Formats: sequence, C-alpha cells, structure tokens
Amino acid sequence: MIDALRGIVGADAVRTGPAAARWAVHGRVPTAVVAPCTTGEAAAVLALASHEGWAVELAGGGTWLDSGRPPSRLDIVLTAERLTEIAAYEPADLTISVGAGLPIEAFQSHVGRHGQWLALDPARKPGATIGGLVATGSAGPQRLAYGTPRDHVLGLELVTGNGHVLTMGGRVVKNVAGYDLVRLVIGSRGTLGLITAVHLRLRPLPKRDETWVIEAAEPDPLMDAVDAVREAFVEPAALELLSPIPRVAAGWTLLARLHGSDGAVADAADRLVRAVSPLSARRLDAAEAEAVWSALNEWEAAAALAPRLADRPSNLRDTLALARTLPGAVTRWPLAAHAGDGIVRGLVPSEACGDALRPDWARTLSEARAALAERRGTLILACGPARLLGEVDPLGVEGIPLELMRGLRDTFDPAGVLAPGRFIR
Amino acid sequence: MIGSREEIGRVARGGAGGSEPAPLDAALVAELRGIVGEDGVTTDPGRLLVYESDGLTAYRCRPRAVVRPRGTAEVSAVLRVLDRAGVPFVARGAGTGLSGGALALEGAVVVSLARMDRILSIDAANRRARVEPGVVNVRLSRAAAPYGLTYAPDPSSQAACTIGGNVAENAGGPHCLKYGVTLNHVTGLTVVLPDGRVVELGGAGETVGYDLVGLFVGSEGTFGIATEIEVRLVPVPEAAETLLAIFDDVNAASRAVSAIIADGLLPAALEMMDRETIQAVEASAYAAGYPVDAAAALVVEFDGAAAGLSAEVNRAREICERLGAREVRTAREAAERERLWQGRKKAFGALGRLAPDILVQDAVVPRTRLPEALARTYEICGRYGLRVANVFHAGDGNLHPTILFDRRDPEQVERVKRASREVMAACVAVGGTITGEHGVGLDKRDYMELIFPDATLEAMCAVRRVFDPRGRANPGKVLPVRVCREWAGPGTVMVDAVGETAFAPESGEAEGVVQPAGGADD
Repeated sequence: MIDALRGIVGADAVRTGPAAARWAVHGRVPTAVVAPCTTGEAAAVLALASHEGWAVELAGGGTWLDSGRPPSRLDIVLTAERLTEIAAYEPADLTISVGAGLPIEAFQSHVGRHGQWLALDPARKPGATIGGLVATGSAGPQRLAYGTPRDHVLGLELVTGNGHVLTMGGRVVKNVAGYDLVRLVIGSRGTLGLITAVHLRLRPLPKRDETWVIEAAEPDPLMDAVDAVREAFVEPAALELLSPIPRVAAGWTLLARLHGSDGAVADAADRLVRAVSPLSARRLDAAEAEAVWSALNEWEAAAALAPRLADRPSNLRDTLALARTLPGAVTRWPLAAHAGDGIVRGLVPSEACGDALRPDWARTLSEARAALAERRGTLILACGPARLLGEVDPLGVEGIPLELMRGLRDTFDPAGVLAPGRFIR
Repeated sequence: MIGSREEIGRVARGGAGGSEPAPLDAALVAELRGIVGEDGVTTDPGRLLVYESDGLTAYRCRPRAVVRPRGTAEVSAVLRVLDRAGVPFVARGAGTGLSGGALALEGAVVVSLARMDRILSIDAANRRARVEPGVVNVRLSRAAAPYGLTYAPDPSSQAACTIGGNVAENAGGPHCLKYGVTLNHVTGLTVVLPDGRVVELGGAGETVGYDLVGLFVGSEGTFGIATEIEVRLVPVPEAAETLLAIFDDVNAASRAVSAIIADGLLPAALEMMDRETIQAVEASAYAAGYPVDAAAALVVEFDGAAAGLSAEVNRAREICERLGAREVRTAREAAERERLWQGRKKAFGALGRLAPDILVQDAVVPRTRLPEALARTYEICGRYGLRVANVFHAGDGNLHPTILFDRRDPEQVERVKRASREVMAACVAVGGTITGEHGVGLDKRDYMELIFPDATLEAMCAVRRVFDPRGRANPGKVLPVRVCREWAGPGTVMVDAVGETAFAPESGEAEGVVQPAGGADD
C-alpha cells in the first residue's frame, strides 16, 4: 500500500508510523497519511483506494477527525493540507478561489489586507482549513447575521470516492446552472469526496464592530432580553447567551455584537440598551471584545465533547433546560447558546470528559434528543469520546430521509471507502 | 436562450400539429378524478392550450392532461398513480418561468399547484412562514407585513409567480444583491418524490446529514414536488433611499458598478439600463423622465436603519460622479423612489412594444468584467444585425441582454439563436455562467456542456436518479440528453418525440411578446 501511494504522490508526501500518529481518528492511527500536491494526485489516490477497498478518512488540517463515530475501518488519511494556493483573488469582485488546504487564519488575514473577510467565524483549532470548514458546514456566533457555509460557497472542486474530479457551481455570485451539488457537499463530512478547491463570496469588513455585554444572576432575564432584542429589530451580528465561562463570562452573560456603518451601529446600540432595560448593557473596548471572542473560540475548539441542541429560537428556554439535564452542565462545564438561532452548545473540556462514560450521559442525551425530535429539533454531537459516540449516534438520524442520503453517498463513493461507518450507515 | 440548432430541429420535428400527444387512458383519468375530484382534471384539448408554454413562449408543447391536487396527500396519490401507469409529470406554478422548464415533454401530465395556495403559518417570533407551493410571491410579503417582516427574494414577476416555482428555479430578483436568492431563504420542505413517497427535509434544528433542502432548491421540478415550503422572513427595512445616476458612456456606468461593490458598499439593489432600454421606456406610457440621450442609467438602492443610510448614499453618489455620471438624483420618499424605479420596472414591457418578440437572456459574469461582457454583447448582436437592449442586475453581474426580433421570420430567428449562443459563450469565456436566475429548463440544456465537464454532468444525472430512478419528474429538462441517455433507458421517450415549437410560424401570433411577468425573474 505504502509503495503504491508513494508511487503516486512521492515519498515525502506519505507519512507512516509515528509521523502518522497525529492523524489518529478516535485513537486509531492510519497506516498512511497522504498529502497530495495536486488534484490529479488526490484523484489517483482515491481511484486506487476504491479499487483496493482501502478505507479513507478525508482531512484538511486534521482538526475535526474526532467528529462522528469511530471508523469501522481505517487505512489512509488523505489530507488537502498541501493544496494551499490562492488561485484567483479579484478584490473588486469580492470573490476568491483557494486550495482547500489553506488554513482559515491565513485566508482571513490575506483577504483582510483588502478590507474583506469570509463572513464565518466557526470554532476552530489552529491549522483548521477552508476545506474543513466547508466539509463540516461549520459556522460560529456570527451565523445570526451571515448564515452558514451554504450561504458563502460559490463553487468547489471535489474528488469523489472513486477518483472522479467534479467541478461544481462557479466563481460568480449568482448561478443556477444545473443541480446545486455544492450544497450537497457542504457539511458532507468527507463522505462524498475530498474537497480540493473552493470558490467563495467575500464581504467588506464591517466599518464598525462593537460588542456589548449584559449580565444577570440567572439566565431567565437574559432570555427575556433575547426576545426584546428581536422585537426591537436590533439585528445583531451575533447574540450569545453564556453560562459562566472562565476568561469569557463571570456569570450568566449575553454578548451582542453589532456590525455596520457608524450610524447604523450607534442606532443599533441605542435600541439594544433600551430593549434589555432594566438590565444594563456595557460596551467592551476593542481589546476586551477581541479577548472575549477569542477565549470563547478557544473553549469551543478545546471541547472534547460538544453536544449541540437546536430548536426554534422561541423555544430557547426549553432547549436550555434540556441542555441543563446533561450531567455536569453549568457546574462542571459551560453552556453557550447562539441565542438568536436557538442553538445551545455544551463545551465539555477533556478533563470533564471522563464523566461522559457514565451511563447517565448516554441516557440523558437520548432523552433530550427525543424531546427535541418531537418539535423537529435536533441534538448533534459535534465531537466526543469514541465510546460515547459508539453508543449514541452523533447525528440522530430519526426522521431524516436516510434512503435518499445513502443513495447519494453511494453515487459519489460506490466502493464505500470514505469514512466507513462514521456518519450515515 | 433558444437552444441549439440541432435541438430546435428535434423539438420541431413533425411540424406544427404533427404529433398530438396521445390522450390519457380513460381508466387513468377516472382514477385521477377519484383523487382530486371531477373538476381537478382537465383533458379537453382546447383548455389545455393555456399550458402549452411558460414565460418563454418560443417553445410550445401541449400536455395530455392537467391535474390540480389540493394538498400533500393528493399530490402523493396522484404521483403514485402516474408512476404505476408509467406516465411522467411536470409540476407547474404560475407558468411564468423563462427557460421552458414547465413544458410537458415526453407525454407528461401537468400537475398544477394552483389550488395549493394557502399560507399555512406565519411564525413572527421565529421569523418563519410555512406556505403551500401555489402561494404567489408578493402575497407572502403582504401577509408578513403586519409583523414588520417580509419575504426577501423579489423576482420581477413577483405579482404572478409562485413560491413553489421560485424554489424550483432558485429565483433571484433585484434585491438579492443584499439579501440572497431563494436558496438562502428556504429552511424546510415537504417533498413528494416521483414515486409518491413523502419526505420531510430540514426542520427546526440543525442540518442532520446532507443538506437536501439546499440540493432540492433549484432542481427545476426534477426531484419531486415541494408541497409545503418553510421560508425565512426578514425585517422590513426601516428606511430606504434610491439613487439614479445618468451616464454618457456605458463603460463608465459599468465601472461605477464595480467601484461601488469594490468600495465595500452593499446596496440592496444595483440595477443598470442601457441607451436602448432608456429610449424604449421614455417612448412608452411609462416614461420616467430619464434623459433620452443618456448611454446608461444606474438605479442604486440602500436600505436598513435610517441612521446610517445617507452616508452610504453619499458615498455611492461620489463614486458615480467621480466616474463620470452627468447627473445623480436621489429620493427617500416612497413615491419619489417609485418614480426612479419606474423605468427599470417597466423596461421589459416597454421593450416589448418595440418588436413583435423579445428574448430575455440570462447570464452572469464577474462584476469586474461587465464592461467587456457588455461590449461583446453589442458587438455580437450588431454583427448579426439584431437590436439588443440591456437591463439587468448589475450588482450581481447578472446580465439580461434582451434581443428584439420577429419570430415570423425564420431567417431572423436563426440569427437570434446564433447570436444568443455566442453571447452565452462570451460570458462563459470571462469566467461567467449560463444562467443566474432563470434556470436551465429546456432552453439551456445543451449549454450545460459549456461550463461543466462530463464527469460533473454525469454526477448530476446520477443524483437525479437517486430521487427519480424511473425518469418520471419533468423529463427532458436541465441535463443534456447525451449524458443522461443511458439512465433514461428503454421505455422513456426522449425529447425527439416532442410536438411543436413556436418557431413554427403557424403557432405564432403577432403580439407573442415575452411579458415582463417572467418566471424566476426578468
């Protein structure tokens, strides 16, 4: 296997043994980690893997490998980390085409020099890539204003499980030619193919960016504030409800981020202050704001177990209550909610994760999921310890059209070599 | 776009009236009536004429029957019966599409969603609405208005087109520059698959598994029928301000478009009209007071909180003036703004008065390539001796070259076809695409190969097959026949067998104008 792979990508692009250990998937170390330099090489690797029946885990920076069930088989990790070219960037068009392996931080700082950004702020570890962001469909607090990757990706290049190179979508901001395979690939978690290049829509950086803090002893008044903010049409870019989190929130806290022109932000701040009254809102200075948001990101990126409970925003109180039934919630590990979107996340650091092997975790997760499912809400485990994910389906596939999804997966991966057993079985 | 020569040849084979679709089997009709009621099935050839084309009147093909179900259960029952009988179907909303997508090819039955026009719920707290597919676009915004909310996608045909059709085509509109297209606003769907199975896509929580909602939007009726649609509503902007900039040079106007985008301004709409369009508008009953000697006009609109608006408008004004605008007017009051918009909104109607027929093209180019793409459009049409007007969503780079012609003259029609194809190829050559909001339908099917390699087209076929293994849903659309021939398999009649086209002179009428109330958008 290793010789065959080296024959395709060259000796230095195949890592084995200890060098492969960092790419373990739920502790399982692959036989080889392959980092092609071109789409063609990636296609040759996947064609061969399909032919030989080698199980392949697809990756970018390898920061999301512990999401999904432990793989039923694992031979190769195929990473796009060396596909980092900025192929086309025309700032005046606000569009860009990049290799999927380009790290998010490098990407944002590159376009930031032109006063632009990709308007997504997913929780990420250092080294997380654009391709990984697309493959996981990740979005952060600012999804409230800017949406998720499905709202930003214009086109992409995908190497399917059996080694076909597909170009999808395009590079222009509006395009309805043919089926929107791009939307299918976003969030497909390496089950359809390796994303090798991505075309993205950019936005101008907001002229003004303010973060306001509202604190309370209990979450209830803050949830009233969330309703009031919506009814007053404050329209924040992000609205995060946090339980106490070291370095982020001393007590129960609502963070509101305001984006726009000077006039628009001043107006929104004014509405915010009035809407949350009698609670008081305090504006953070730029350094404080930066510190809070990056500390929240670090907490989130460091979570070894990350349940996500989602329902209609108007049901936030119930969703939060369900999240608090999970063992140790708020007391041993914090909760953070995209309050405007109705999504409550548990941020369980690895030191609190030992608990997760207790049977009451699996039971409470299943009960919360069932309660949410009644309202067509969802409970997803974005990542977690292998044993728990072996026990509790990370996605929760009740009520989704599994047959269609299996049919689509088999179309792109007829040999069944991509992430076998991990997401849709 | 009118499609390739070869295809027209195929569609037209048999000549006008040469191949009437076979009537449906009487037992099948009875079975359908049993589901949707006596008045829910039409088979009378005279009454079927209304359904023989959509907003792109160039193609015509009379369906064998029209069935009008009243809900998900009836749609499911109808599709089950048709599937068992081996009869294909095409879903139809208001029939305003501009790509021939609603034509009943291959002996298809039309499933009209006209009787499914209920707004099922408006959930103001969550800013969501759930509607049936036959709800007319503008009705939803009106229903949401009392809550201070609106449905953002606003195709120019919004007074007629339906949300179901918008979902099928992934419709756009002038305000999609800021707010996004239909895709960005659809959060959930109830879908009846071609074999009658009902599936729920999306829901209240996060996407679990693949984003089938995203995949379904824009599938042009080939994956099944959406019978309930959940959409996002957005706040009605507190204020809006509109700017009209007049230019003596069309390239200067294009550069202003690019400069406004590059400056980081995000207008709600950024529309452009060229000289031909301005003159047509001013010569019509809709005269908006645009100077008739101008080479181009931009309509730029900003909306949002009243507080920041003037700064943005002033910035846009400065850019326009710096790039050579000879005159800039602004308006804040609704009536004044309406006047500035009037020329843009009535442009297609006005152009329709200049010639027996107009063909509204749809292509997208990168915004920085607009001057080049426009120049190529004029050059190509000039070379073919055709009059062309451009009125389009400049901020998105979404061109709508509009060719004036007379379809009774076959030689002229041939020139229109050739010019259209060249225009399309020119847009693709600068990094663009063949359709921004009208869809592929029948019209652009064979242009898919201009932008996608075979591997992608084959993958699209395979994806279609997952939803519709027997090829029942809207056959003959979206994908070139060549790449899908294999899966069409025996027993499915290809497009060759289709009846007539409007390019056959017999079916043409002098006033057969493509109305502005067109489909996914103008």
